[in-house]
Amino acid sequence: MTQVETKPQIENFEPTILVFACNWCSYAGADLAGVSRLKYPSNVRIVRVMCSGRVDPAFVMKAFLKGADGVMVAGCHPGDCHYLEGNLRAKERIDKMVEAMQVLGFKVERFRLEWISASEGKRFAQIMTEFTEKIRSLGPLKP
Amino acid sequence: MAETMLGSVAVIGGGIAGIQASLDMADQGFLVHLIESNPSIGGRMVQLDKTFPTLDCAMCILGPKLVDVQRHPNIRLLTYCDPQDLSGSPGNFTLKYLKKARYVDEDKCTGCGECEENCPYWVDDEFNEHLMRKDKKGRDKPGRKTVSIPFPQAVPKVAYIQAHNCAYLKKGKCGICKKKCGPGAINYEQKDEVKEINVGAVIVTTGFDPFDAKEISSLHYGQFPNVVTTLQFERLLNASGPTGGEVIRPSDQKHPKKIAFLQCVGSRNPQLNRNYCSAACCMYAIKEAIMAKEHDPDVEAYIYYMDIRAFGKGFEEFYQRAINEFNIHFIKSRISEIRENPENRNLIVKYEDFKGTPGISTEEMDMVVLSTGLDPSSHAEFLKRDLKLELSDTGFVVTDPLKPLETNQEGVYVCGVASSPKDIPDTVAEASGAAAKASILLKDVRGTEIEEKKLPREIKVSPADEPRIGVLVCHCGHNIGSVVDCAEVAEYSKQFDNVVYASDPMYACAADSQVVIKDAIKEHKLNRVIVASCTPRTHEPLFRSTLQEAGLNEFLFDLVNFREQVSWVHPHQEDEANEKAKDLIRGAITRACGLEPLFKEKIPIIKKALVIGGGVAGMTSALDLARAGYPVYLIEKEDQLGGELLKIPELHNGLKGPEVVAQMRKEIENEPEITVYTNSELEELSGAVGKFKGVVQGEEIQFGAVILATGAEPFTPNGYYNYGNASNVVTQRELEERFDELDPQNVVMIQCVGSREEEAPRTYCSRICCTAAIKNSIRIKERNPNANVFVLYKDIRTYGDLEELYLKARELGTVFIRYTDDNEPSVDSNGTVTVFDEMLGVNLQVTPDLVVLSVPLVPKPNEELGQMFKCARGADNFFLEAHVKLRPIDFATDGIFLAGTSQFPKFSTEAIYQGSGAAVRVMALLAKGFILSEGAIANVNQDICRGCGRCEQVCPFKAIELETKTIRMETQDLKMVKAVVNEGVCKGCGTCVVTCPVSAITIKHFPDKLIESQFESILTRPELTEKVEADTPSVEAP
Repeated sequence: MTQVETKPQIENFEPTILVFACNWCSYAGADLAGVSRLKYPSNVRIVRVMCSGRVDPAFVMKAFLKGADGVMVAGCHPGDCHYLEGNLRAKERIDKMVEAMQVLGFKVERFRLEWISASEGKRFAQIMTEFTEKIRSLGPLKP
Repeated sequence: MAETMLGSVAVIGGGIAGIQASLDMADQGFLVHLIESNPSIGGRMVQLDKTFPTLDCAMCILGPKLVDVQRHPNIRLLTYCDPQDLSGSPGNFTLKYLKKARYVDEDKCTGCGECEENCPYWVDDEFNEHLMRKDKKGRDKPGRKTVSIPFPQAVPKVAYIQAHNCAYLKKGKCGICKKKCGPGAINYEQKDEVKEINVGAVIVTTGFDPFDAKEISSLHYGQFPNVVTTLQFERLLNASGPTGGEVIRPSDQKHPKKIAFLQCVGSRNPQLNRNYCSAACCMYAIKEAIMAKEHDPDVEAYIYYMDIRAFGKGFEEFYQRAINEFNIHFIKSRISEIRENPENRNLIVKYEDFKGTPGISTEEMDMVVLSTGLDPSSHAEFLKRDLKLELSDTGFVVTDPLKPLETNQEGVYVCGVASSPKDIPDTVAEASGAAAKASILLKDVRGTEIEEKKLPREIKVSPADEPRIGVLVCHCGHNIGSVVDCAEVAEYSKQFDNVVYASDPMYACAADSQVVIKDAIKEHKLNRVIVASCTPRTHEPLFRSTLQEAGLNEFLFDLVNFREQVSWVHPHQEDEANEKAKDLIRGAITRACGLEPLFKEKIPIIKKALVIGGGVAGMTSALDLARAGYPVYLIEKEDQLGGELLKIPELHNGLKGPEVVAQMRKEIENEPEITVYTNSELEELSGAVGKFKGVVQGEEIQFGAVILATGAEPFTPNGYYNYGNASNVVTQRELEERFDELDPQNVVMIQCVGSREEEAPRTYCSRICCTAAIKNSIRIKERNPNANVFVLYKDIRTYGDLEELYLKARELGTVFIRYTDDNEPSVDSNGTVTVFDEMLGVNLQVTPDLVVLSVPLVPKPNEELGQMFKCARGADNFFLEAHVKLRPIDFATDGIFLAGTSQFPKFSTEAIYQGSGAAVRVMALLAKGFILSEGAIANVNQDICRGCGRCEQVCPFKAIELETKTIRMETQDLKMVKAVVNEGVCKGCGTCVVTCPVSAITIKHFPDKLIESQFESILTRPELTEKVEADTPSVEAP
C-alpha cells in the first residue's frame, strides 16, 4: 500500500492536531462544544481514552512521528478524575516527557496537557482554536 | 400489609435523591418507576455550576449518574408526569399519575434538536432561572424555544413543546417543527393522560423550590434588574448558561466588580413562617463568591450574614480559604433594604452591622445576589392531600428522630430536602437509607417484577477470523447530513478490504435502523460494526444492545462521533469536514479490525456482611441488613453495644441516649441473623470485595462486604482554659454526666474549644457542639430560671430545624456573646472570664461558678483499621469517603462502606440514616450473589511481570495485588512475586498499563496496539485506488 504524507507545503499550511481526550471530562467537554455549536478548527482529531492516565507518553511521541504537528492530552481537572487520580499520574509522566523533549531540543509548544471539564464546552473550543493557531504559526513539524 | 406484595417501587422526584434511591433499589433487582414532573431528571443539581467544598463541576459528577439511570434495565423513567393519588396498602399500592402531553413521541424522538433549531418562537427559560438573552439589537428576549430539549445532558434526551406558547397548538398556525422533524416524532394531537402503576412501596424525594424573593419587598427582586438570586448567579457562572459563563449585569451587560451576597433570604425569618435555617446557603454563597473571583480576580465580593454555618465536612476549611486566599469580605450584619441608584443602576445595600457601628451603614454594589432559602417543593400539597403524609407547619414531611426515613404512612418513605433542608451529601446518604427501608419491606418479593433480557447465543468470533466490518454513517436528519456527505463517506469505507457492508441511514438510532443493523449482521456475516453518528457517551449502550440481540459480542462495536466532533463544530466547511470525517472513520475501521469479544465475568461473592463498631450507626446498619435477610457479624470493641449514645443522658430532641440504646440492643438480640462480638476487634484480614476473610476472637469469619462505623469521641481539652487544673472547668459531656449534681447559678459556655483551629487535624467545625451547648443552656434555665447562662461563640450553627432550639434558648434568657479569633475569651486564675463584646465595644467580665467547654468530636482510633482495609483518612483523621458530594458512604475501594461519626461528627439521627444508607449499599452488592467484572479491564502477563509493584502503587482502586507464587524449576522451588488483577474491582482506567516498566499489563478494549493503530491510521492517509487493506493490528493471543 502506498502512503502519502499528509503534509502540504508551508504556504496554506493546515496542521494536523491530535487530541487524546478522557471519556469523562474532556471528551464530554468536546460533546458540549458540539451541542452548543461552538466552532473550532477542523484540524483537530480526537482519540477517546477512558482516562488521561491511560495515555502513554510513547503515544505522544509516536503521534509526532506519524505526522501530527501538535498533540494534546486532555483530562479532568485535578480532583474531578473519574478514577480518582489518573489525571495526576498523567501529569507526572507527561511532565517528565516534556523535560526529555526539551533536552532533545524538541519544540515543547507542540505538546500540551490541558484540564477541560464536562461543562467547559466553550473552553474546549477556545483551547482547540488557540492551540491550532499556535501550531500553524510554528509551521509543519516535517517541512 | 397487602396479601400480594409487589417487588417494585415508585420514586417520586427525579433529583439527586430520587436518582440515588432509584439506583440503590434497581441494583438489588427491584423494579423502579421514577416519576419526575419536569421533562428531564436531574433536579436542582443540574442547574449548579460547581459544588462546594471541592469545586467539582456539578455536571461532571452528576452526568454519569443520569446515564446510569437511563441505561438501567430495572428503571422505568416517567418524566413530565405528575403523581396524583395513592391507594392500596403497604406492599401493594396503586399510584395514579398524570402524563402531561409533551407533543413529542418519546419513542420516536432521537434528540437531534432539529425542531428546536427551526422553531421561531422564544419563551421563558426556566432551566436558566428565567434569565434573558440579548437579541442582535441588545434587547432582552426570553431564552428558550417553544419546542426544546430541556438541557444538553437531559435524560431522556427528548424534546417537549410548551403548549401555552406554541402558535400551532394555540392558533393552528406554524407547524414548522413537525415539518422539520425527520423521525416524525412531533404529535400535536397528544393529550394529557391519567395512568396508573402498581408498586410495593413509595419513596418521596420531592426536594425543594427556592424561596420566592419577591415576598420580601425591601429587596426589590424582580424590580431592580441587578438583584439576582443565587441560582441565577449559578447559571451566569456556568459555561453552558445563557451568557456562556460570563458574569454580567442584566441591566447593561457590564462585568460587575463589586458583588454583595445577602444571606438568609427566606430563612431564619419568623415573620415569613420560616424559622428554619436552610442549611446550604452559606456554603453556596461562599462558593459563588469564590467562583466570581476566579472568573474575574478584580471582583470584590461581600457576604452579609448573621452566622456563617460551615458545619459539614471540609466546609470550615473552605470558609477559611474564602477569607484568607480569596479575600472575600464577610460582614456580620442585618440587612434593612436595597435601594437603586437610578443613574447607573448600582445598588445601595443598607445594613446594620454587629460591630456596634451606630445607625445604618450603606455600601454601593454593582450587583446583589440573594441567597434564597429552600422552600418545600410545590408538591408538598400533593404529599398532604394524596399521600396523606403529616407535614410540619413549614411544609416539610414530619419524621421521627429515630426513624428519619419513615413517614406516618407505612410503606411510604422520605429522603432529601422533602423532610428538611439539607445539602447534597446528606441527601444522598438519606436516599440510600430510604432505599434500605423499602428493601426491607419488600425483601421477599425482590426480583419478581423484573425480567432478565433473553439474548441469543453469541456468535463465536476469534482473533484469527477475518474481520468483516459493517459501517453505518448516520445523517441524523440534517444534523450531520447537511455538512458531511454521508453517502460518500459510506462509499469511502467500502474501499477498505475488511469493510463488507456500508450504508447511510437517516437516523441510525431509530428503531427501524436497529432492525437494519441486525439484518446486516446476519446477511453479511458481520463480526464488527461501526456507527458514525453521535457521542458514545449517550448512544453506545443502545448500539451495543442491538449487537447483543443479533448475537454479536457488545465489544465488537465502535462509535465515531460525526455530529459533536464534525458537523456541529465545522459547519460551512464541507471540504474540511468531509476530510476529517474520512480520517476518523479510517481510524475506526483500523481499530475495529483489532477489537476482541470480551466477557463480563460473574465473580461469586459471600452473602454476609461485617459491621465494625456497635454504636448507633453500626447497630442500625446491622439491623437493616439482617432485616433484609443478610447475615451480619457485628464487632464492638467495648464490653457492650451502644457507643457514645450511652453516655448522653438527654439528647437535644428530648430522647434519652441509654433508653434508645436499650431498645436497639433488644432488637438486635431478637434478630437471629446478627452475630455480636463484644470486647472484640478484627484481628486479621485478607481478601477483597466479595470474599473477605477475617479473624475475630480467634475465629475465622467470611464476608462479602464491610461497614466501618467506628465512631468518634469528645476531644480532651487539656491546657485549654485551665481545663484539667480548675475543678469548675468541664466539658459539655461532663456537665451532662453530672447534671443533677452540678446546679450552677452562673455558667459560661465557651464554643469552638479545640476546633476550628488553624493547624490540622482539628481545623473543622464539629457540627453538633452549638446545639449541645444550647440544649444544656435550656436544661439549666428550665431547672432554674434565675440561673445566668452566657454562651461565648464565633458563629451559632444550628442548621435546619435546630434553629428553633436557638430561638428557644434566647427566649429563655441565655445570653449569646460573639467573640472572634483575634479576641478569644480568657479565664484567669480566679476563674474570671473576660470576653470582648464587639457590639458594645467593651470587655465583659464574669466570674461564673462553672465554665463549660464545647469540644469537638475526634475520631476514635482508626489508623490500624484504615491500614488493614487500605482506607484513606483525611487531614482531620476521619475516614475519607470516595467522594464528598455523591459518594458520602462509600470508600474508594469496592465493598467497603462507612457510616456514622467515623466519617464526620453528626447527630444520632444523621448516624441512623447513614447507617441505613451504608446498609443498602451492601445489599446492592450482595443481592445478586455475584459481581460482574467490567469487561474492559487490566490483564497481567505473568510471564513478563517481574513483580516490581509499581502498578499496585498507582491503582486507585486497590485492584492489583502482589502475590508470591511458587514455581517449580527443575529440582527446586522458586518463589516469585507477580502482580494479580482482581477482576471484580478493576475499573479499567488503564493507568497501571502506562506505569508497568516491562509492558506486562494490557487493558482490554483499549490496549496500546489498538490506540496506536487508531491514531496512526487517522494521521496517515492512504492513496485509494482500489480496495485497500486496513492496518490490521496484530493481535496477541490472550
